[in-house]
Amino acid sequence: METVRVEHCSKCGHTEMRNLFHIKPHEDIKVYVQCANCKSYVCRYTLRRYTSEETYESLVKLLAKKEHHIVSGREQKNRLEYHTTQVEKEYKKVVEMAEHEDQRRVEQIIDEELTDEDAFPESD
Amino acid sequence: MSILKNRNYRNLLIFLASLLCGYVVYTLPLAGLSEGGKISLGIFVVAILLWVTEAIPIFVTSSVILVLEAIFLARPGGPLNLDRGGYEIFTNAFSSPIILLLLGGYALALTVQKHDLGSLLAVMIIRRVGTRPERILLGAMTTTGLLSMWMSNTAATASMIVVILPVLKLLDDGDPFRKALLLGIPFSSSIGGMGTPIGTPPNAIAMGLLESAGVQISFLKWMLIGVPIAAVIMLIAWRILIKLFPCRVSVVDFDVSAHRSLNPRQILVLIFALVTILLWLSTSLHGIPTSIVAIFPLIIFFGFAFLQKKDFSELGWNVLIIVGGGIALGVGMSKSGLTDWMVARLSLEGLPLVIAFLIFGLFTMGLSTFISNSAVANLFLPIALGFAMFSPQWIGIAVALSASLAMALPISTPPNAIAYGSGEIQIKDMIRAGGVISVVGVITVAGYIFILSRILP
Repeated sequence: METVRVEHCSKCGHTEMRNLFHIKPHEDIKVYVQCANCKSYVCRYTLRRYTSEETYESLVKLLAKKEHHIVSGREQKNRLEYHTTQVEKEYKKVVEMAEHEDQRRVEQIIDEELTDEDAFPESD
Repeated sequence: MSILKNRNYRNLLIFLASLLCGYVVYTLPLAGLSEGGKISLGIFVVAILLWVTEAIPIFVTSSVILVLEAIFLARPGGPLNLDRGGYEIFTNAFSSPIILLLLGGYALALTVQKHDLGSLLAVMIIRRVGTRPERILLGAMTTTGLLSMWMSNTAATASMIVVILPVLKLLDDGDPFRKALLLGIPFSSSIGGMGTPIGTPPNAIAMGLLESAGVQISFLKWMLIGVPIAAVIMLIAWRILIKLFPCRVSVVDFDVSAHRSLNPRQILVLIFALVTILLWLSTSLHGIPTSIVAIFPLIIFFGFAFLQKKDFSELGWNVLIIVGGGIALGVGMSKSGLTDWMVARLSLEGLPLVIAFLIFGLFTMGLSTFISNSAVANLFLPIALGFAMFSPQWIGIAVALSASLAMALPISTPPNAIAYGSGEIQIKDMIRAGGVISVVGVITVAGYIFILSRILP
């Protein structure tokens, strides 16, 4: 079941947030979300992958960090096209879906809709 | 019709159709071809169709080859007259020393990458080349070529593109030199991969097939042959790119990144990597086979936490299966007599040797332009090795090197696809530059191998 929830501050209800990226060597990158209005702690999440608006640059950096034994030029081309266009397509779709956002809290959605594997799949 | 639009169903149909085509070819009344040869030809056709269409992943096709050979060629009392357990002549391909060599090479490459040594080397060289565009391009190409000798061409390309992104940002949008940089890097990764047996799968496939035919080529010998020709073709490619995509400015004043010195872990990785390479190059002195030396990186890097358990899955297992499948296909074609039958029908008698090298090179490169160069090496090397007019070693090396020279299309190689994905390269740019470099490269390889075959044993 696909759904979108816009993060709200539990104290003041605002939706404008500040994302604070905490980067420490040998640890996962954590993002602390702060309410831009009342400055309270909203939530924290752990980053698996970061893709900026410069999707090609992000992707090349990812390819440079891991060994990728793709032997087919056709497969590589398809993967790149998928990645660079897919992020933008999904973003537009999510923005549209956010117009009718799910009213449940994120934790509730995760508990009710997803198994552990769905929520936290193995890294690809 | 809606079923055909579903990619999985379509691929299943192609897979089944390939098997059917293989069976149809097997039933053809081909004069002079034994029962074993017909089976082998049917398997060959299945392999071609699956590798060209990529209906299933390339490494899965290699697995299909093994299963078909084991069941139909190697059955006890079957066309090859083997006992129970005779199928091991095919499964042995997957435990060839070449497979171990590649595995160790991948562990070494992965460790170097995870510790950012590839990027550091790239930055070190690029910072020293100056600000003239031609020197920047040559520096980028040389560095990529050096990296791709030891790591996957994809990783070498990506690492270098990341390093030259600041240079690209300094150039105007319409400056043709942007294309020179974005093409030079993938081209040089393909060219550099020619330099070592582990630089690219076709090299390993050639070594594996030659070994199964009783011809040994040492790591050092391959480098002594491959590195000079790679350097020459790299220079040719550099000149062609400068000519086709000249820079509008005479100076590009860039700063790639802040200087970083090596930390202790990186120094240790570098030392172990260099020791491994030295051991590979000096087998004749110490007597330890290169495949056994290749296990040292596995022991050191996994044993002492330079690599983690989860990194084990990134070791290029698909490539090992592809190489194994290629060797198994070659063994099947040879044992069944298919190779001899094909060779007898492709008459090259009377042709000057250098022309014959050229024909093989152009055919290999041409085919590799459209399908995976590993697949082309798997399909074409067994046939090439069957020609008595050639010394197996020289034709094997010529075909393997030519397979790395397909550069005209985005689908020709994964590095080309990465460059094309930037959106700055049009297909006509790649065809123009890559096509010329490919043809000139193959001519150079043919001439070079011909000369070597005359002066060396």
